[in-house]
Amino acid sequence: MATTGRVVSVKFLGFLQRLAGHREASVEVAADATLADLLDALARSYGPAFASAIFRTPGDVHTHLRVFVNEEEAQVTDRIVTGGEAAQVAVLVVPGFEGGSR
Amino acid sequence: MTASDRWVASTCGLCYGTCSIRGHVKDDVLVKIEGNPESEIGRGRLCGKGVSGIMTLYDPNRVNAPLKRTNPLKGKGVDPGWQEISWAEALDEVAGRLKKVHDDDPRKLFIQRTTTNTSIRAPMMMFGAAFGTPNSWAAGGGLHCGNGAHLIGGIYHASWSLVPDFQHCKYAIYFGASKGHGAGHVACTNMQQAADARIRGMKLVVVDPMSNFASAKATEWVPIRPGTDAAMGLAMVNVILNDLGVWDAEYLATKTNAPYLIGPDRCYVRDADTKKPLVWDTGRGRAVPYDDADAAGLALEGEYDAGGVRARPAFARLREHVRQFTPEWAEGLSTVPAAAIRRIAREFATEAMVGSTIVIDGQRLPYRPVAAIYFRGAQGHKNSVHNCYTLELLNQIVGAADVVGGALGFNPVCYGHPETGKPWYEPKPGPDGLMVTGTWVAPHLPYPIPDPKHPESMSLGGLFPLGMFGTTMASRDQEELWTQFKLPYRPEIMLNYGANSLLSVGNSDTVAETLTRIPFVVSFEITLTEFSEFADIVLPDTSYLESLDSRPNVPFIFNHPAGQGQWSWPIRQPVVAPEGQRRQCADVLLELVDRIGIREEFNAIANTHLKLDGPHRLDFKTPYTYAEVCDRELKSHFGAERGLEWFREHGVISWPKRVEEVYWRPFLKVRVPIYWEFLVGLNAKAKTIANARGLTWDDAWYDPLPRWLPCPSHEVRDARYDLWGFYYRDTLHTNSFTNENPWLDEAARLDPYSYTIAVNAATGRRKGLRDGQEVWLESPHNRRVRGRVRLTETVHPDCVGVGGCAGHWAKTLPIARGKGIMFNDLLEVDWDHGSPVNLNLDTCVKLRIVA
Repeated sequence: MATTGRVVSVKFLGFLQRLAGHREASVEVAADATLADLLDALARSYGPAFASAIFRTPGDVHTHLRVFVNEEEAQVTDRIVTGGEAAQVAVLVVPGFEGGSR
Repeated sequence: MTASDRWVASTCGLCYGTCSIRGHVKDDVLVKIEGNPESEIGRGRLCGKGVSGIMTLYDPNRVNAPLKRTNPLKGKGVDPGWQEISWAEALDEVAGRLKKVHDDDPRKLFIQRTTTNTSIRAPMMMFGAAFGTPNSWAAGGGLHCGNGAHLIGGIYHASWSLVPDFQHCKYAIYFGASKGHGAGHVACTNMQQAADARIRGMKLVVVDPMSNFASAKATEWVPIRPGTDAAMGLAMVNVILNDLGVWDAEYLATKTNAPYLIGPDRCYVRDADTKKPLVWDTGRGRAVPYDDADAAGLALEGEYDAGGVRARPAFARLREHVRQFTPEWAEGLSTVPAAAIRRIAREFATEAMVGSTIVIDGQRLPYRPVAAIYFRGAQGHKNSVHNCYTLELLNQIVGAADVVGGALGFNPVCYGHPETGKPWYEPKPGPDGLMVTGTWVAPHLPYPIPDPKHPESMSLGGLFPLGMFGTTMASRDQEELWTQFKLPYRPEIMLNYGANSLLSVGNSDTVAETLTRIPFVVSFEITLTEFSEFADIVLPDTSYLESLDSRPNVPFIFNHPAGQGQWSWPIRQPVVAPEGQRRQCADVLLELVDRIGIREEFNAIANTHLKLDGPHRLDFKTPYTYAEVCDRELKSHFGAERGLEWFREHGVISWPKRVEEVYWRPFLKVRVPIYWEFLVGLNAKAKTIANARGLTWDDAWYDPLPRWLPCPSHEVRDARYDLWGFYYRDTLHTNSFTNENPWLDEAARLDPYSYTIAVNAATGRRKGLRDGQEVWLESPHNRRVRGRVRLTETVHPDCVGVGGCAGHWAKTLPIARGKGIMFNDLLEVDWDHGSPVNLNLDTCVKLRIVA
């Protein structure tokens, strides 16, 4: 992922905090980066245990991973829209799967 | 109706069926419980347990204040020396210890909950995830009743389990199931639907070691040895495919992976560019990706050159594979006569009416009025995956899955209330075109399957991604296995909700030993049980009749009737106010969330787990009461005007089901696997990790085609142990929980079987046994339980059956104490008695009767 100086603030919730070793991090992303790009970068930074927690198989995000941008749940294919301010991204693995959406 | 004389709509909580009820309250005293006719969940009917809930509510031995242990010694029958303390004191200690563990390593928290009360599932799961622990289980649930059946239900029907389409089915076979004849999922509606089906003429064949609740009302009872269901099922599949030549080619080609080409390595042959599995297009005479829209017809048989190898469609491999399983072979294992297997297979195939259609609500749909239903009896074994996989193939080969008359997953598709379109979910295609459920219950989806990894949970679950829960949560050899796999922590705190794992898992000595290793145990209880003896703090919980929950029957794949009719979303609400210092567990958990400092996590999880929407989402940093969370969930689904207050008044909201929700299979482009190709890769990866840690491995359990694999009870060679023992669900009781209810106890004492050991009359006479005689049941591992014999024609001659999960010994349970039998005390809980593919526990045992 190319770095352009745009900074995203990432918060690790639940057990991801333990795997990341801290609760928050600042990550530089490309202008057109998606959340999937961000997750790839996080997996590279935090190693195989973190990667296997967020990816079901290499490159395929785990079904129970949830990503929030400014507290709104987002899809990993979404681009990181910052609205001029540093986006607050929170990542979390949920215990079970319920609901469903279109 | 006046304030002093009122009816309150709510839901039952004496089993996970969670039927809708209404309670008659006079002068703030609950005087009667009835079924709620306004709700589809029960339709006004209620079982014996449900009407008896009043006695559980007013149990004079309810816990009414927080209790603290004063005796540091823990063990079975050891008095904890309870001392009443204040809530403030209790929560200071609990929160302080949780905070310390959270800051150190959250995995050291072990969460345990009962399956009986569904309302605790979401709050506990959300709390566990917010805390950051992967260690949570249902105290034997899953090991006994679901690691196999729910997995297969999810893979094939996108549902927790399945039932016959009672409204249209003509021929159903139950393998160790009692749907519509006993307890469990939406029991009361199912009972009415099953009764109506009998009147309509549906034939029911029940394959079971014992003729009890379903068999008693069946057309035919087929006695079978426990754990051999796959043998009979494989022979039936063989007869149908190879002797009768019956299968639904269109269904198999379009709705399963039957046409996927399998190479010599037992894996899919894949397209070089897209990596998609290839199928053979008979129109163009070449291999194409499975989802090629131009394919004229997909081959199910033959052999082809594809991708540089000789390959055969999965269906051809299945058909060839099952030829070895003759009815005579199956008879030798199962004792079901070969002639009966052939006849039942023929009846099933004939009644399937492959190719027929029917018009429902103006839509022409496939009509396959047969269903093979499997549940606890077929699944409660080490070989549960292959049992359930085999039995499900009966539905799949004739196309009787989620079509009119067939086996229905209950409610895997919902398009929501007409005014809001919520709740909304449907299955969708996942990797290789195979179905991913639209909604689910357990910690992970049945499919797609994650890569196995070095386990970091107490259950070793990461290495066995097909299992929900594992034996090592409470096994004899847990420490040995944790050491073997270098588990980097040990549990330091257990948070228990209402479970009595001393009785519900396996032999109580093993479970007790595992509990004594946990330094601090907190338990939410309504009465003190055998488990409480191991707790350090007991917190007084409200009963279901004093509690609030916005989602007692959600998700709909768990506790909502299948088939045509209505959707109903009821709430649970307090019928009476709680007495003493009782507090609802969900509220206490929210207080702990704030004290530990995990509110941000909890609120984020609640937003996604409960599908909170728009203005009803929780702000990450704001504290909420559980009532506020419930209110927001209801408004998210049914609009701002239908929040908690609306539901308090009305109790339930209902709307009509659509035909494409009920009979969804023809409408959705999803496939299911008749060939488990994914097991080949899973086996290779998991085996590598396991072998590196010295765990022996048998590839047979990961065969991509079904087979019969023996359980430990099938391999006992000592001829003195000449009988198979099993337990069955007694409709009068739920787990070990309701034994303390005096009305249900009275009914159980009047019932000839509830508290006795059912022995085949001829077998018993041969052994010189008489009715009422006290005997020991003894396992090859020298475990013993004592009970009274009941001679009967209704149990297989090679078997003894024990009802329910009784045999309490706690002095705090004066009604239940000393009654019935704790069959589980005969069960080993260790690696050898668990499945190496889905971690299911073997719940049958070879035994002998000692007079």
